[in-house]
Amino acid sequence: MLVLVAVAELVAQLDVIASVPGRDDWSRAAQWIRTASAAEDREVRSPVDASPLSPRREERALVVVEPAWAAPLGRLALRRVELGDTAPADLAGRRALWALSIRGHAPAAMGGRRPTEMRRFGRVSVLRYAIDEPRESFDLVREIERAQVAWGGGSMGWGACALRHEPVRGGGLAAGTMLPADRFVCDRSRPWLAVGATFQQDVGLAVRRCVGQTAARGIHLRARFPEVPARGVLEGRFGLAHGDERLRGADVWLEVRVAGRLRARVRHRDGEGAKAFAVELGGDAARTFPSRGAPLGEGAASNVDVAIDTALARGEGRALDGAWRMPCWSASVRSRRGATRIETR
Amino acid sequence: MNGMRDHAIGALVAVAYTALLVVTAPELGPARDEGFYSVIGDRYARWVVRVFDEGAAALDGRVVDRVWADNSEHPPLPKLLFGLSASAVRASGVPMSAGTAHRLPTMIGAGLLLWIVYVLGARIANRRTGIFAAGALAAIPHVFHHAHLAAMDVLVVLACVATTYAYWRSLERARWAWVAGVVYGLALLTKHNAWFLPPVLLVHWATLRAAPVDERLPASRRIPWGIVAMLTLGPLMLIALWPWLWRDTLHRWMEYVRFHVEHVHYPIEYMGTTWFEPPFPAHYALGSMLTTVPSTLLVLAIVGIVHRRQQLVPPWLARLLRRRRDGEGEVPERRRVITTRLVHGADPRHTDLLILLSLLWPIVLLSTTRAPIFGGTKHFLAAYPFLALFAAVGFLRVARAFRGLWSAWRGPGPERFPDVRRRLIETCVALVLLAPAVAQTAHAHPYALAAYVPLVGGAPGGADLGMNRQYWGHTNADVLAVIRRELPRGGSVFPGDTALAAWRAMMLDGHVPRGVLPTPDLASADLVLVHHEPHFLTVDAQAWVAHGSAVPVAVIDHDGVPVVSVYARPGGRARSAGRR
Repeated sequence: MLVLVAVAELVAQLDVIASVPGRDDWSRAAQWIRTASAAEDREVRSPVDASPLSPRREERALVVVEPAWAAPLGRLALRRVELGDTAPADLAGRRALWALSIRGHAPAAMGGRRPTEMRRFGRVSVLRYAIDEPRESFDLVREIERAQVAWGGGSMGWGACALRHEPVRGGGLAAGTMLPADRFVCDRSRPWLAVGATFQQDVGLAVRRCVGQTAARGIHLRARFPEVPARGVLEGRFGLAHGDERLRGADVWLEVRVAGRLRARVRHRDGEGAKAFAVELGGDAARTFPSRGAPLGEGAASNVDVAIDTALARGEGRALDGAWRMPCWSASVRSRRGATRIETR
Repeated sequence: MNGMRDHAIGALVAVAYTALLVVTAPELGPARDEGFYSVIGDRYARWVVRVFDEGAAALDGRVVDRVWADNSEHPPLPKLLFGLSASAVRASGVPMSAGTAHRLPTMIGAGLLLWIVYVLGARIANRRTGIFAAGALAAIPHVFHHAHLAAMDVLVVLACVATTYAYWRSLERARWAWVAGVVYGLALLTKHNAWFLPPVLLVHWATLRAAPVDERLPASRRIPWGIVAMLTLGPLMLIALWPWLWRDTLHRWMEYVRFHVEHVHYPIEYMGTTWFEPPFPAHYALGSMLTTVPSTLLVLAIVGIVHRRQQLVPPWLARLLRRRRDGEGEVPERRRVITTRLVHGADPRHTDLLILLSLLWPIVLLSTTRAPIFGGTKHFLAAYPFLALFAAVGFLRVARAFRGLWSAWRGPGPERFPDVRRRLIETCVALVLLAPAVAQTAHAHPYALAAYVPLVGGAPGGADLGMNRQYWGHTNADVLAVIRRELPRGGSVFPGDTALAAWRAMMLDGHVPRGVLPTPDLASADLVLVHHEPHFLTVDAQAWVAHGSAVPVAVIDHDGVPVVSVYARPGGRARSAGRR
């Protein structure tokens, strides 16, 4: 009976309106997460922490909002979200995952697992998942401001890029990946030749915390981390902003050097999306210089020099043959491969 | 006399709807393209005034080109109307904001559209059909939304429906052919969508021609004069009334065609994917319609179509089918009854078929070609008046069933005031059937593009499905309150997806507080607006980088679905800037 259809539609409409979580629900749920996760969080520092590059291990919980479209409301309620905890590429180094959830959504990364804890605050649920993720000993994105950045390569030699506080300009869709005010600037006459921790929305429209590092034609840009714990695996991803990737420009190279030796070379072609790379670090311990401390608990400590280079492929520009592009990479040293990927959309 | 009465009722409906649109317009911030069209419309209008003042000097080729080169990718009529409207309102001293004055032609056009739909319904069935059809169309949330905007979409729907109506009348009275030609000229002057109309009407006319002689229209009307007039008068009017085409006509015409053939595509979210370029999903139009048109109206339309199935097949085709089947041997009794029914009640104008074709062509066009979909439902809005007509047929069916129920409940015997009883039942049924649409539209305004039907869970259900929330940066009504709160002493705002022209329109109307200026420089802006669409997460991330924080100071939502986030620059002039 059509009149019943109409009545049912009206009732359903009222139900939709009544089911909307109130701002107070969000606030109470966020407050509870803040309190509970702060109590759980612990930070373990290496015993000798004299060096600015000394590896630091942090095992912290990650808070996500489910579904992703509700994330702005979740962040508004949480009030304080560190940039490093906004859109990480994976769960490496995380001890627990908290989810502010509405409408029965659960984090896709948990693959249907049951939460270890669940509380309801009106229409907002708080889910907690204990996770067994690879331990993370060094996050290159977090440490980028302590890196040694240089440009040049080949017959040009290498010039140092200085960490500066430069004004950020522009914005909007066309601007793509924006570098922060605190960034490495290599050449005043080429302000685009720069490196800094930022976010990038990849071709799948997922946003990822990463290091924006120019890939220029005929110039190598290198971010070097002299003291990276030489145990485990260096794992990461790199790609271009979605708008940039649709332009079908020149291919971008990313090279990983460990103790001066080329260990990974990844070529990114537009349309491929973020590409993964991984380098086992264990065998490089012999080529390391003495460590200032024992970074990761048991066993003798040793660090290794890791460098990440970016460059633009020669003569392969297609529709847009510009002098430079802005790939963004993320990488960290973790105890093993296979951290659970998460996608922030 | 009856015709006049119909028009009087239609006019009443039009006035009421226009008034409602005018009253609700200020809640809807100016959409991206409105800003451009208003500025350009003002320029066009000034030229028209200049023609009256200066005569030949204003008609000088260079002057004409300078004025009309702007936005020459679209025909001029809507923009000219927006400009003239604003100019007239200004001159008359009517207390109306410039933004609403620019929008007035669309709002009046939406009223006229209801008028025509009402008259069409009244002519093909009865006044109840007309009233219900007009009500149904008015209460579709996306129709109500677009009916406010100083854009071309509702005006071209009006022009196409008016042309279809005139063509239909021309099948009965040849003098309507002239009207069809003139109205089609106006349609071409409104938007390029109108070019797709003649083939549809030709298909319809072909079904008339294919009829056996005894079923055809009178010999004097066997030539489709309406279509002939459209194809001659239409292009002539386009060239004659579009000053941009007065010089270098062929070249500029080709430029216009090329622009639309090679139209750029903008991203739009649909079913969890952001579509940047064709091929687009074939079910885009149908899926969007199912999720945004109130379900009761859709079901009514289906009931209406099923109810009119006999009239939807041209009698000659029904007879042909029957003959074929008869030739195959023994025909089952049921099938014979059906095909026999199809031949009865023949309408020489095949009106139902015309309405069905008019309903289908915008959907089929979008589903089978590389036509842009970035504007969501606005690309097939022309289907909705005809959907509403079928929904009205469905309503009649339901009302009749209710009358039957009432009679059965009451039992046999004489009844006092049977007409009053019938009208009362029909009115109640109509109100109940229209109530969901009215409730959804009222609740959705001004976030109609983010609203989805309760069948899919409303706005949150739409977000779960990965459906679009907006695309024109127009959702600033509630943002303005945040701006007033955050920047009481002025400051700068990065306006997100709101075009600077649209922002300026808000400033001129006094919606934006004095001293608050838009800036394209996100990092230096005191406030940053992000209009949520998946690809705009890039701008979200820029705000995080620029401010060193991912926490907004305000989130505007519709039914819990974020529509706009507002970020404050630390150390900036916003009140919340230092609180995080």
